Amino acid sequence: MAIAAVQFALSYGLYNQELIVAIADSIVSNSIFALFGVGLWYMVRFSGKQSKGFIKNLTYQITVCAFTIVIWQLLSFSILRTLFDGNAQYVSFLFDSVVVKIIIGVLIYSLLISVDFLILSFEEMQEQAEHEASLSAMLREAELSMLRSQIRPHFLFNSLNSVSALTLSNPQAAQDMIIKLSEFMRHSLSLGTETMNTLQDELYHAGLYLDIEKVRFSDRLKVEKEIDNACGEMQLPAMILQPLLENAVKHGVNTMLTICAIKLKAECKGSKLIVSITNNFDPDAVPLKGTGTGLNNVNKRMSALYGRSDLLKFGSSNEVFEVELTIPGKVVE
Amino acid sequence: MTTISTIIIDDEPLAREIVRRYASDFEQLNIVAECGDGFEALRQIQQYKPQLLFLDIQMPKLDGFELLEVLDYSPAIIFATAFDQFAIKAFERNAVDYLLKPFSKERFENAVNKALARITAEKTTENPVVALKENAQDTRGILDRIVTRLGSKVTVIPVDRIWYIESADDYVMIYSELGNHLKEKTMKFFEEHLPNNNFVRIHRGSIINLSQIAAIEPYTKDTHLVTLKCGAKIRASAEGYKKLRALL
Repeated sequence: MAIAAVQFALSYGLYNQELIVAIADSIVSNSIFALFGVGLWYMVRFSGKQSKGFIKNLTYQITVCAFTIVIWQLLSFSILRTLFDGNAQYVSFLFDSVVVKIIIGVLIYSLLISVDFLILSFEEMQEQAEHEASLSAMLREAELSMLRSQIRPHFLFNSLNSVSALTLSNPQAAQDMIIKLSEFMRHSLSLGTETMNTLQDELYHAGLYLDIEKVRFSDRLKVEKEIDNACGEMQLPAMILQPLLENAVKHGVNTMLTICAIKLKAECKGSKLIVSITNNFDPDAVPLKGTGTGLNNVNKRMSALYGRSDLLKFGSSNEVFEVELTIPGKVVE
Repeated sequence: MTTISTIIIDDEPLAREIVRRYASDFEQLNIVAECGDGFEALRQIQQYKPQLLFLDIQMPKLDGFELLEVLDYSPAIIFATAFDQFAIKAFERNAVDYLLKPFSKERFENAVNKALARITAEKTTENPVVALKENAQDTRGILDRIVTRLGSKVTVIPVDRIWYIESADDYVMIYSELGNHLKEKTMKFFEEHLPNNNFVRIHRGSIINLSQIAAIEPYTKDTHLVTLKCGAKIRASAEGYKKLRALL
């Protein structure tokens, strides 16, 4: 439209054409071009979707450009010629202006194509950003679910082996163990889809786990709990304590010949919740393989959820290993 | 009837119990001891010289494979474990069978029958135990600890506490924070099975821990002298020095 107006102004002002003729001239030639322009847009869209080499693209564009311009000129020329056949001055102007029109046509063509490409690449960029965002969200979700639902298969098989032994010697204890194990598994599965959970529920889960381990190791494992009941409804990442408890068993009970005491403590300070797990261990024991992966996973998960990497603290002194988890009130979105 | 002396080794009491119960149906099996860890097991094995072991793999102090490594004879072994990934290694150690926990009584009986058959057969034929033991050891991956034994004293040496290793005839001498220990292995074995970012064989007869290096100085035309933090001075060949330079 704007181009049509400019062209009209030019031909009217510069070449002293009659008003009606100038209007018709610009309308005819430009509306034809506009039609082509719409066609070009789809062409760009279509060709833009397939990535080609630069040279190939360029020759393709030049060919289409030449073709478009020739057809456009032929069409508008013949239409205008037929319309204003009697107007000799206009017809000679029409002949004179062909070259100029072709040049302008090429310019406008390149302008249109560039604009089309710009719009297209902008759209593509937006699409890509959207895709990337959804991808990273998916990745985070997948990572989180992987980090939290790592029930070690050998825990299950060793527990079932204990059940197998108990069925022979103490059927009542075997039944208790099966019920605890089932409850633990069911709870793990349901928590596998949750992001957050209440402390009360997490502690219930931890209790089941430790009860099962106590049956396995009998008097080699002792569990102490020091829980502030006021914090029961506070939220923490679901299943975050499980890998820490597994670590305590792995590095405590599994390395020691004497009694291993695991102590679970929870207290709240304002909106913060602090959970600590301590276990004694044998300082002479050779470090087991896989040391640190459990702690690393917990730390990664805490960082992903809270955007901070200082929430997990751990260290050892006097044959006691302590892990302390600080849970801030707010999760980052 | 001759009985087969047997020891059950597992760190979980209930796991020992089920083996004991199942085994009680075999009159030939005479259970002489039950142990909850590798060290205790070694003591009992040395005392009773059992012909058959029921052996768990993951245990405190000394795992099942490490225990086998320090035995000076080869009893028949039935592994009983929840880990399926050690089965290949177990059979490479000439295990009679590999029971995956929990196992049925039929499965257990099957394993015991195999063991009884083998023990009977071994009485009549020469037992190619030493070669198998040596062979099996080499399939282990990178070591994170080394088990040595002198008499009844077993030492577990974490590899990061080793200072250096020197060849000594058919043995190697391991110098570490825990003292000096002989091990019946080759230098080649240690060159291949110690973490190669920490250990380098700087000479035909010596492997050193990189973190123990205090100083390196030229010695003769082609060789260098490496001083370790413990004070030991070890010669590095031209080739060994090249390897050392590449790692530092």
